[in-house]
Amino acid sequence: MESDRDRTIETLLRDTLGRQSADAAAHLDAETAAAWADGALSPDERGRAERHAASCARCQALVAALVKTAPPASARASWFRFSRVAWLAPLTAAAAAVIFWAVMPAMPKNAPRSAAGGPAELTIAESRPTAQARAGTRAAGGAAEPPSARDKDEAAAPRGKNVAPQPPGHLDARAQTPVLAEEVTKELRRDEAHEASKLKGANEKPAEPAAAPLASPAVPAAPPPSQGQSQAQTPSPAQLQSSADVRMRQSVAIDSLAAKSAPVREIAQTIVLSPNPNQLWRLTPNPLAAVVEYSIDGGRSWTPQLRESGTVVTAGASPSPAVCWLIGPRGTVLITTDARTWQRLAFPEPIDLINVRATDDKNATVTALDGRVFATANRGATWTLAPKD
Amino acid sequence: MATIPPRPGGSSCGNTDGRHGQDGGIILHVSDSHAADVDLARLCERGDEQAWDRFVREYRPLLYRAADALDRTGRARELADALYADLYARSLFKYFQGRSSLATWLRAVLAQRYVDALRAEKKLAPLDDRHDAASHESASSDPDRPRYLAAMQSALGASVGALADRDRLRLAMYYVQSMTLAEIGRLTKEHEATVSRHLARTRKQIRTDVESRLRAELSADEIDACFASVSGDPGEIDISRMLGYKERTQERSI
Repeated sequence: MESDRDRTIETLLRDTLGRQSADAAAHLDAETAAAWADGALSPDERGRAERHAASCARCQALVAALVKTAPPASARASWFRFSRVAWLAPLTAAAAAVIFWAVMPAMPKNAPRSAAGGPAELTIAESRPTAQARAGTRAAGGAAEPPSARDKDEAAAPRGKNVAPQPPGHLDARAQTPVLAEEVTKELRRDEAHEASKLKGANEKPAEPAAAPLASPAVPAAPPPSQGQSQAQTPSPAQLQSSADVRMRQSVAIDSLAAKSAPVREIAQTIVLSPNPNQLWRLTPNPLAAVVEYSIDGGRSWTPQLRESGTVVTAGASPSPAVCWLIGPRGTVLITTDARTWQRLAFPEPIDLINVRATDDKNATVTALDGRVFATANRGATWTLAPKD
Repeated sequence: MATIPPRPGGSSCGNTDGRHGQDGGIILHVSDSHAADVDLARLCERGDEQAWDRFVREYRPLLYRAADALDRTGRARELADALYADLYARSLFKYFQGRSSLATWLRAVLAQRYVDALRAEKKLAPLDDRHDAASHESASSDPDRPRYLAAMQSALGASVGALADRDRLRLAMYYVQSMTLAEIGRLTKEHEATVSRHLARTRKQIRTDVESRLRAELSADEIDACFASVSGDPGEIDISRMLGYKERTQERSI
């Protein structure tokens, strides 16, 4: 009972503290806020600033925005510490190069990457239909596999590239610098040259990578595995080819998206792909900005769709063009069923959610930070905790 | 320490820690690193082209990066451009007093304009509308709900109002602004583990306090029903008035 009441209190705090407003004449000015952020206020001044900000939503937003725009910690690293280890950099690079060249020849060129973690899984772990089918299988069978080794393997970086694994079905712009995306795309193109005849046009136009693939009709869907099909089962050659085709198209799209976001790629943004390649959602984990944007032209232009102070979404899944599920910290679950308006769904615990898979507008499986998997079959009206393996 | 000539019109801040020197200039306590920034700002204010070139080279990218961090739709960029234009017109540099680095001050001015612009728009709507609709729906289905809401508002407002300022600030930064523990710790000069510990303590304190206040007017079953009623749907509960009143009486000096 205590934990239920704690959750209620947390919900109330989140919803009510944001409405605080203090005297406008007493707001923090930029000079004071900057000095606060730099730690330059005297204890007395800081006390006064804290006292005001504690009850003023506007100044809280100001301070939060200021903190959010701070350069990354790495940029502020001490030169002294860096200088002490700087000599290690070329040594490490040389060692990495030796290991790379030693291992490379041993790797089969056309190994089935979907099983071992190949280049395509760098950005999209697997083709969406397969992911959805697996989510559906889990929901139906109750066999949860939160942050499973398979998921991690599927999302692993190619050949030791240091890229954080991502849940299937969404992309992290941080991992998609144009250079990296280009490498992935090139690798795909080289390894699957015999498949690329269909996409030759796209390969010959690197300057406009999004045009051909994104303008094409819906991405061909790999047939979902049957209910009893083992997830570790090796896919058939036909499935592999179809999957590679999908990945090829998606990686080119990613290339384009990464290029579009190049000037500001320090911000972690997530792209949620729908089955229609022209319809995308972009999530920005910034409580002061439009947290959800929508594109109907394959990411060429974006329309802010949801802007709410305090709402943060970090991942999503779009099982159909009009339906998108989004999740975020502290039990945030949002859904749209018309690709326009969003509805917040109640979640049983204010726990950080890290992954969502959905098969339609009613069935979804959500993975929490602690590994637990929650499933709903009625659009969030009730959630059931899936048993752990 | 740097001596700054008096500025026409003065500052809007009114919170300098400086004092007037013999020549009428203001002596500010400026760290050595910020003194260089102040010099640059003053030179730009006077129209020194070389200084302006250096400012553009070093600070314009920073300004745009900050804008992009705030908002990728381009609106913050527009504000950054407007800010840049104001700086070019030299009207803004006079407000930089060296209490922070010039870079942080620029980010603060941009953040201030951005937040004010957002608040001026006061928009968002789909989610709020639905939320309100849901509130009214549930309100009409439970005859006791108005009573529970009033009791919870009163108890929660009193409980949050009784918190120490820093506790309330941590809560707001965490729950409302979605700042990370590390970011909050940077503001409060605490380790993130300390912030986490304080947040947990404060949450528990509020819950216990709210329960205790509710017990004064509700039975145990009614308290259960009260929590269940407001869970996930706080309705019109708004503690801002109580807190705002308290702040208005105390905070005019900032």
